[in-house]
Amino acid sequence: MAMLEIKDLHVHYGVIEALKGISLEVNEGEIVALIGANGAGKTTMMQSISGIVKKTSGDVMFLNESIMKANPKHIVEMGLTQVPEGRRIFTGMSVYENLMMGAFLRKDKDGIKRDYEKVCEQFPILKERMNQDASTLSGGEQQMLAMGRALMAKPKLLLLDEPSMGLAPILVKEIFNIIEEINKAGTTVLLVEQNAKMALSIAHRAYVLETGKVVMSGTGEELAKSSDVQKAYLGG
Amino acid sequence: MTAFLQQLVNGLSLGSIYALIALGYTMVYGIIKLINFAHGDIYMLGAYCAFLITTYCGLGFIPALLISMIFCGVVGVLIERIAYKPLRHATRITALITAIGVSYVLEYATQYIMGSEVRTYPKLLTSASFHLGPVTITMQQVYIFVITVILMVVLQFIVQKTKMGRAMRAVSVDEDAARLMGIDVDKTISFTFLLGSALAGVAGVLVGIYYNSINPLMGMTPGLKAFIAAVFGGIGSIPGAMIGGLFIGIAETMVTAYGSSLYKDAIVYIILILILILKPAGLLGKNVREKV
Repeated sequence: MAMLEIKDLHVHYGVIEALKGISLEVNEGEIVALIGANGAGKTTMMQSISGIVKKTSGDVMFLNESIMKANPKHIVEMGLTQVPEGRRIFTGMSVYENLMMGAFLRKDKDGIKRDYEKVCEQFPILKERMNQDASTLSGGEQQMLAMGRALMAKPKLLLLDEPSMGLAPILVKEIFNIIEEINKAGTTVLLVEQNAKMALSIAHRAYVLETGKVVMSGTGEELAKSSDVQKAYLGG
Repeated sequence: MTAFLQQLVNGLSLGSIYALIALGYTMVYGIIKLINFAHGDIYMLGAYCAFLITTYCGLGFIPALLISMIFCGVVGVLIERIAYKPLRHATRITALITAIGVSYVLEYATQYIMGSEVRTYPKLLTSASFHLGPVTITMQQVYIFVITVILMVVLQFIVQKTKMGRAMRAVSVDEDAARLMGIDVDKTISFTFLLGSALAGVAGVLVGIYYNSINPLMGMTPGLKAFIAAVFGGIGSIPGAMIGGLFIGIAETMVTAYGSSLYKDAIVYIILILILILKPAGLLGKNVREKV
């Protein structure tokens, strides 16, 4: 049974159709990658799943419940959290406060404390900077903060939109290692990336998006070997 | 020196009132980037509300103050829901013009219902005064100052320490990111209007008592001055609004005392022009800076 099942999803911005009937699924325990060029509709896809952008037609099922009309709050409550593109951390608030924003809807104090300790363990650099203003963090640290913040919501499915954006190659590697760790610890991951090589290297399965449509799908390995994907996204 | 200290005391009480109004401007701007020009009129409604309660229901100062706060808070929330919410994704100028429209509606609706004449405010607080060295301080000034300080402390606590306050700050930084945390943005915006309008209500009651008279257009000038106070302190910044309010109040009082009362309004606008030229972000304004 798929954890997230998207069927023929259409999304419009005014008269422009950004997603033209996308179908995909994410099974429990998987890392699924969505790759594609700028403007392919990757971010629109993520925002519509999270309920930030209105879905026009089709169906999106999460844990066997349709979230076509659900508001973002309900979607977070159900266990679907997103690390948005560009990290979007709350500047002017401390690192600690940012993390706690992730746990905004939770009431289980003990659980929050446990997850906080887990995040500290996973991102030791954040622990050192707990009381600093989040805007003083470097790009890589901000990405870790955004991921830690999302984990504080205790998600069943974690959406990651361009986690490697603007980061040095060595940091990209570290971030992807952490994504694999998070997945191994039991969180299902749907990942959007322009860095197709990195994404395909950790993904169990992947979809290639082009101008609002899925044009290819397969296992990470299959797609990495495919000559079309290599030509278009892997620079060779 | 004595005269100076005396004027400082007077300036502090006037400034406290400006600060209370400025807080509403700055909080609303912080969260939806709208200069709510109807805010000065909420303050006027606060004054009228307490006037009616004390005159016709015979209630005392504290109940009148609390009821005015609730009344203004509710009116603020209704205005946001009816007039501003449908325009949240419209251009900023549309919302701004709407705010001016709402301001006129409140002013002239009050004039229609209550009449345009100036009303004398009931004596709700003792007019006793005492001497501190050479300076005379009235009990009213003490009340105004103490109430303002208490409200500011409470407000800082709400904004910094409570869950709702954290939600307010998160929404003001990044609305969509806040949504992704599961924050109910509409509710948070309503809460901001509730707080800001309740504070304006308090200012209205205090001014009624201090100056002894109210009228339906009383909100215009103090509203503008409080707006300038908010800009001076850095619009969007709560401590900035407090400092700005006190500064504008003291500046106005000093100019009245040492220059001429003819210039007391002019000085406030001169301050606005200067701050816009010299430090447009205001005293404690945020320098927008982003890391990519």
